[in-house]
Amino acid sequence: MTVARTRWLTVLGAALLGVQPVAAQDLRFGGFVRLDRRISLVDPGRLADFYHVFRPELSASFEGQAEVVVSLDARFYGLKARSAEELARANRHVRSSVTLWEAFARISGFVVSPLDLTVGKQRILWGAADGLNPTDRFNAYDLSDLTDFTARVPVWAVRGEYYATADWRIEAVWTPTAHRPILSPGMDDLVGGAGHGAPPGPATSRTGHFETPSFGLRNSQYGFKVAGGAAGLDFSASYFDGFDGIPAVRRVTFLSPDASGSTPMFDAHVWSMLPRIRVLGADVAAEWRGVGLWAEGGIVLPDGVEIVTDVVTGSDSLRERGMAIEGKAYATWTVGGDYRFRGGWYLNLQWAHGLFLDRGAGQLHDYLIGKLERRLLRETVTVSLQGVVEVVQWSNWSDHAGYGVYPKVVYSPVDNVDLSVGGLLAGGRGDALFGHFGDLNQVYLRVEVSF
Amino acid sequence: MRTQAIRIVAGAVFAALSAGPARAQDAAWVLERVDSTLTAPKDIVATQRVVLIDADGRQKERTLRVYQQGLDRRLAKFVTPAAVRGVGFLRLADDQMYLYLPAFRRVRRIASSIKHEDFMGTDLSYEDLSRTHFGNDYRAVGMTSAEQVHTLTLEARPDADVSYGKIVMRVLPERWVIVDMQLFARDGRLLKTIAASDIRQVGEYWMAHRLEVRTVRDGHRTVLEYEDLQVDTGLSDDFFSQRQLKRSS
Repeated sequence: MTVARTRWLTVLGAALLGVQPVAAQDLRFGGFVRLDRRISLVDPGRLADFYHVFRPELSASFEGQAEVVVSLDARFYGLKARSAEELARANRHVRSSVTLWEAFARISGFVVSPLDLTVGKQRILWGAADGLNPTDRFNAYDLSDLTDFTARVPVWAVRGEYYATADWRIEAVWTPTAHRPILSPGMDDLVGGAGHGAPPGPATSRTGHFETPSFGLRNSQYGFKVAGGAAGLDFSASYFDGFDGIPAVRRVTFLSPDASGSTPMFDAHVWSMLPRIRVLGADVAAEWRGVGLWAEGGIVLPDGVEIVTDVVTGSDSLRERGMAIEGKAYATWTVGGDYRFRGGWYLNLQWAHGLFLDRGAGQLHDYLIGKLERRLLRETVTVSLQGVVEVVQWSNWSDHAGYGVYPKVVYSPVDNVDLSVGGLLAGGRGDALFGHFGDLNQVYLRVEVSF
Repeated sequence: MRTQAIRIVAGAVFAALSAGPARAQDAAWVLERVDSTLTAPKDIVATQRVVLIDADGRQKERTLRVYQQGLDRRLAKFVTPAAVRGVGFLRLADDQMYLYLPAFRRVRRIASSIKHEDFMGTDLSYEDLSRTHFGNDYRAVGMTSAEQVHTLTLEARPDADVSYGKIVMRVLPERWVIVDMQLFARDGRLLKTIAASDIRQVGEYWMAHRLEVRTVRDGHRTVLEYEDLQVDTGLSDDFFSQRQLKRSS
């Protein structure tokens, strides 16, 4: 165990000792098992790469004043019979993984009654928008499921929330490091800069080297937030200093296996890291005539990231330098609203300027996201249709646009059991993000059992 | 002669007019007593067992911990089933509502348009659950009394954003506790019936400990039973907050 981790556990222990010793009032074991089978629509009949999840959780509550939660995330990729070739093609090296998902202690009234302290691995969700939150920066993305853009990975953190009144609070968060995101197979290629200075011809192999930020002050993240409510409005202003959730490529080396260089084929080695950013954010949520409304935005101040590309052919090498990320500020935002009609229909519309992979001044795409949902038979069946229209260039939108369609039906025959069938149909032209997802079009069958 | 005739007609008209308002005033007075009884406890804390029964008799069960203060403030947290354990609902003044989703550790503001929707598959809408004062949205237009029970007829005020156009409720006199209700749509269709039973005294207040709600359209029923019902526990205003909504209990 490293010194940093020992220190971290000491902090956790000290936080726990801050509470008066009380017996656990409520000890609970729960969680869910989700079996998920994906079928590719691009290569009909072939199972798309995906995983089953088992996420057990143990929680204890101490007279409502403290809470401890520990959960694991176990993912099992495909069938045992899956071949090494298939795993390699899916850019995956393991058939299963087990990680500590959440592990935190929350103490209400820590030292002073208005202060809540949460220490440990946790989800820190900032922002008022529905799932597409430009100010939500502490947790790494979990983009392993392209039918769910809202998933995040919990992060080790210390979080203090001071409730000045029931409506006003000040929040401070510190995390000793950042985690790398979980990306879908093939998404690595979409990370900006990977193609910079690429030689002509196909890469015969691609080896990724991700530089994970180490534990320590230099690589820590922190942020502050002031949130309040007045006149029916909920609003907040925030500041974040940490890492962008998506890696940037800082170095690429193309090696030709043919020393003569006569064969235009190369092995590509790609080094990526998480670029440092600061985000000034704000959000507001309100209601008008029964319509829920929200707006959330951030001004992102990124550190510039230089990319160095080497093309090595035999004894010759060629080096090129450029900027993977310009150090210029840019704005990203989401506005939206929702309404529940009499009769059970639910409509949710959002307009996002910039999604997870977009960054850089003038580089952000626009996304109109809509969801129509209907619950039937007393919530035994839920039918929903979600759609995304992506516009890269408004001046030439027909050649630079994408789309995504996400139909879904959930049937809950008994409590704690959900059977789902759904899919992803995506496509696009030009640089559209959803155009890249077209190769991953799929339908899924899912069984989730909660316990 | 003509003047006398006018006086007689005028007197009859006055009598007729004054008799109508007198009955409406009685009904309004009873409705005030009912509302006062509903809002008399400073706060209520209870465990609510909710059984959903479909027309074929199949049952689903939920358990909630509920906290209520005055007219506006209500906080409810699901205890069972496992799939919704920890999901919380907070209602504040002016229909300001929040939902806590433990899977995302997130408090989300929700629009008040949800209040016309059924609450988690039950026969009760969010509006039904949060209503503690009928007089704000309804006016009493008639009342009959028989067998120690008043039967009140309420009509929705024209500007009220409510799901029911008319409510007929039977009320126990003196205790002013609602025994049952019939809830009608604005077009006159009977939508739901609610029957209260197990009426017991808690502290200074008479309260029903069991409600059975039936939706006429599909015959679905919801039975709500209150366990461990406490009143005037001294909940503070700050309890009804997003901070409390996030807490595990």
